[in-house]
Amino acid sequence: MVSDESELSDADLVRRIVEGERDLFREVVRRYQRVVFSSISRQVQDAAAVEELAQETFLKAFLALKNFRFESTLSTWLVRIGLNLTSSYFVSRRYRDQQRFIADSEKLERVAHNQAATDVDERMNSQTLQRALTQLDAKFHEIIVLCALEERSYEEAATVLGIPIGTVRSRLNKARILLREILRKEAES
Amino acid sequence: MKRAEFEDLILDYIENVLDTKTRAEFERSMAEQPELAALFRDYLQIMVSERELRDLSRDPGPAFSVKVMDRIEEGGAKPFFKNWFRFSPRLVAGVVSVALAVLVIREMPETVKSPPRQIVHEVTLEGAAPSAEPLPEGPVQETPQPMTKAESSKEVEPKEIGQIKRKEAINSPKALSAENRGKSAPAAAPQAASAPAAKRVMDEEPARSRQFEIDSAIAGSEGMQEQKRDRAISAVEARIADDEESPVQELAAAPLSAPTSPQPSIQIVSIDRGQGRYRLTIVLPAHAMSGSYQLDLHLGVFASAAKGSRSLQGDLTARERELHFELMVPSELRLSGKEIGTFRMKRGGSQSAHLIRIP
Repeated sequence: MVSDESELSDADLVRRIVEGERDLFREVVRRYQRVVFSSISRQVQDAAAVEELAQETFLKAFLALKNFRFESTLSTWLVRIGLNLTSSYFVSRRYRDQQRFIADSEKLERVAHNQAATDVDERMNSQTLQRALTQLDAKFHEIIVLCALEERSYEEAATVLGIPIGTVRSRLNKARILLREILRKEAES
Repeated sequence: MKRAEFEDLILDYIENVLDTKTRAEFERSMAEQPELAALFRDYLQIMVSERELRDLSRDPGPAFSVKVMDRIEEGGAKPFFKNWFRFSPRLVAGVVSVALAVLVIREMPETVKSPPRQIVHEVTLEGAAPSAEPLPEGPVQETPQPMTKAESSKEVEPKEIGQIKRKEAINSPKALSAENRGKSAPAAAPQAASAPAAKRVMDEEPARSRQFEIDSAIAGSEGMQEQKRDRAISAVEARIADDEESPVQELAAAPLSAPTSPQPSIQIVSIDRGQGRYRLTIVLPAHAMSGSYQLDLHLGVFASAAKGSRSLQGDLTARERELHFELMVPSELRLSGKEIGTFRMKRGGSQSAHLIRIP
C-alpha cells in the first residue's frame, strides 16, 4: 500500500484525496513537508512557530484541495500557501510581541557590552537579516524567500507569484536595496 | 550614472547581463561615487547573508506528518464534511435562523389568552339565502336576515354588533319558525310561546334579553338531539360572555370581483381558540349549481393546513351547499383584522371571488 501511494502522481493523489481517500494526504505531507518546512523556517526564527505554520499550511491545503486545478505544481502551491501564512504571522500580535522582547534583550546586551554597531557589515548576521526581512512589504519579502532563500528560478518564482519574470528580477533587486535601508536604519538607531 | 539608475542595474551587473557599454558606465559610477560603491558592497553582503540564512532551514521531525494528520482528523475533516447533510453551512444557518424566527413569533404572547371555548359567529353576505335547515354539525342556531353589502363592510362598534345580532336572532325566520315548531315540541313550548313577551323584556333589560336568546336557541334546536342542544346553549352563552369581554369577532367577506352571481353565505361555525381550530362553513346560494369552489387562505405557512376545494356536480341539495373547511392555525396567531383568505366560485363561464376577513 505504501509503495502504491509513493508511486502515485500528484494529480492522482489529489484526485483520490478529493474523492474521499483522506489518508492519502499523509503522502502529500510526506512528499512536501521538507519544502514547506524549510521555506517557513528561512523566514521565521521561532522553531515552534515554524512547526505551527507548516502544519497550518498543510491543513489549509487539505481544506482547499478540491479547488486545486494544477495550474502550478503542488509544491509551488504549497509554498504559496506557506508564504501567505507567514506574511500573516509577521503582522500578528504574537510575532510583534516576540520581536519587541528580542529587541529589548539585544539593546540591554549592547548597553552591557558598551557596543554600538553602526555598519551593516558588523550587524549583518542571519538573525538581523531575518528580522529585517519581516519589515519588508509582503511582496518583497516573498521574492527574497523564493529567489534568494529557496533558490527557485525566476520562472518558478514568477509562477508562484503570478507575475512576469522581469517583474521578479526588478522586485528582487528592489527588495535587497530596501533591506539595506532597513539595516542601515537599525544600525543608526 | 544617477543613483536610481545605478540601483536598478545592480542585479544585472552581478548576473552579468549588462552590455559592455553599460557595464563600463556602471563601474565608472562606482569608482567616482563612494556612496554607490558602499551601496554595491552592502548589496553583496546581503546576498552572502542570504546564503547563510538559506542554510538555517530546519527539517521537520519524524512526527510532523502524524501531527498534521491528527489535526486533519480533529478539525480538518471540514472539506468532506463541509456539506452538513449535503447543505452548506450558510444554508443551514439560514434555515436555523428562519426556524428560530418562527419559534419566537409563535412564542409571542397574545394579549389575553382566553381558554378554549365554543363561539358562534355568522355573517350573511349580500344575496345569500338564509338556510332553513339546521347545519349538520356545529352549534349554529341563527341565520339572520341577509345584510346589504354596505352593512357587511361598514365598521360597527362592538356593542352595536351585539345588539344587532340579538335583534337579528329575535327577528330571524329561524327564530320565528322555531316558535312555530315549538308548538309541536312540548318540552320547548313554554319558552317558544313566551318569545314576544321576552322581546319586550329584552328592550328593557339586557340580562333578560340574553336569557331570552338562550331560550330562543333552545327553541330553535328543537329538532336536534339533546347533546346538540346543550352545545348550542353553551355556545350562545359563550358568545354573550364574549360580547361583554371583547369585541365580537365578525367574519367579513367582500367580493374581489363584481360577481354576477349571488354571493355565498359564509359562516364561522365554531372557533376553538385554545386549540387554534377554526371551523368554517360556507353556505352556497340556494340556487347554486354544479361548479368548483375553492378556499385559499392567506396565512402564509399555515395556508396548506386550510386550503380546500370542492367540485360539485348536478343540482345541489341544501346539505351539499354547505362546504365545511377546518382551519388549524396556531392559537397564538392573531387573526383579528386579517384577511384570512379568498373563496372562489367557478360555475359555468362565470367566476367570482370573495375576500374573507376577520375584523
